[in-house]
Amino acid sequence: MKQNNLKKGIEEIKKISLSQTEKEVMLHAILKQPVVLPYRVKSPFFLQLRALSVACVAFILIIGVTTASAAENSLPGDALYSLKVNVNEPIRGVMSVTGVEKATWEVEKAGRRIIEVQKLAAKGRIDEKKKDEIEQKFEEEIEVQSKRLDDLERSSKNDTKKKEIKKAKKKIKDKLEKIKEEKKKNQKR
Amino acid sequence: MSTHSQDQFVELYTKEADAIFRFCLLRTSDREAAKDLVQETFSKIWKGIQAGVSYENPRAFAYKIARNLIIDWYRKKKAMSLDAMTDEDGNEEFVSIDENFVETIELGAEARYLISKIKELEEPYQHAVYLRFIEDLKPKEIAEILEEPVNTVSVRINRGIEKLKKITGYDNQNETK
Repeated sequence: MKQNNLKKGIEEIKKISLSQTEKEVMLHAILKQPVVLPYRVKSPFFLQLRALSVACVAFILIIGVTTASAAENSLPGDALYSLKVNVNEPIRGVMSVTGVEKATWEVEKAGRRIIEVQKLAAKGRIDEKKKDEIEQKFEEEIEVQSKRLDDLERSSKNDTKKKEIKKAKKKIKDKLEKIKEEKKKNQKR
Repeated sequence: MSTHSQDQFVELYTKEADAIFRFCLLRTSDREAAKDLVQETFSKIWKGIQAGVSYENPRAFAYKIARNLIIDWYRKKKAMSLDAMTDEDGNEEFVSIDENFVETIELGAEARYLISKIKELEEPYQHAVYLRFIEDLKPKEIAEILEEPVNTVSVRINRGIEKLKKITGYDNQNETK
């Protein structure tokens, strides 16, 4: 009888589920989700460039992977930028699953925006207010992800995991240094 | 984007959405939060598929994403460090069902009893037992989800289930007709 109770308990737990309507609505939302660009660049030609960049993405898919790597250095408003944020970055994002991987990726992604902003500012393609906003967000992101890694380090009892976390913290520190160097370089121009 | 990829994704979603929802609900005690977490889990998988990622074990990957999203949810929603959601030994607690929440969901007496007994198990047995015993995941899949060696997970499953059967009174020695 008790084995039957156990089986019954498992069956009852397995009855916890979404309703059919909830599942359908959710699936529809997932499949229709657009991918959003991080921010808009102050440019009178942005709309035309955007249409051009959509056409270029189709062209790039025919050419292949080498173009995807070339996109990594593109800036908002460039034809390849759409590929960078709509293809390259989502791949990285999806593959970052654990707390450590996500913290590292979030900082790297925020760092990319900063480098882009600094390069745009050097070319006069972004206003100061937007630049300051993004720099502020970057600093906040560093703080959030550093705290996250500290929490993970404190709660982990696995030595391999602790080493991984230390490595990630160093990566964030190196990223910060790189951002500062890039800022100095751009200010000298 | 090929329709074949979309079909594969829809098949995965149809098979696993409820299980992922259960997993999230039992951790958050919040139906709306659990739904959001399920949607976010499958959105990530879908974005990966669109970007050309292929998953060796999509089912295990879904649980892994969900587990990490739940940890994030605790951090953001409850505004506390991971220390606060761990037990005294620093292990992540699995089930945070509260009594009020249990009353709001339709759950049979046996299910409530079983969940309360799983909660009595020490971590790291809770996760291993739930995923193996309730959701029928294989040790290799559970190892991937929990990021632990397969041997470690197998030992935890066996010991955990043994303990669970004892504390529920469902072991063969106590079985009565």
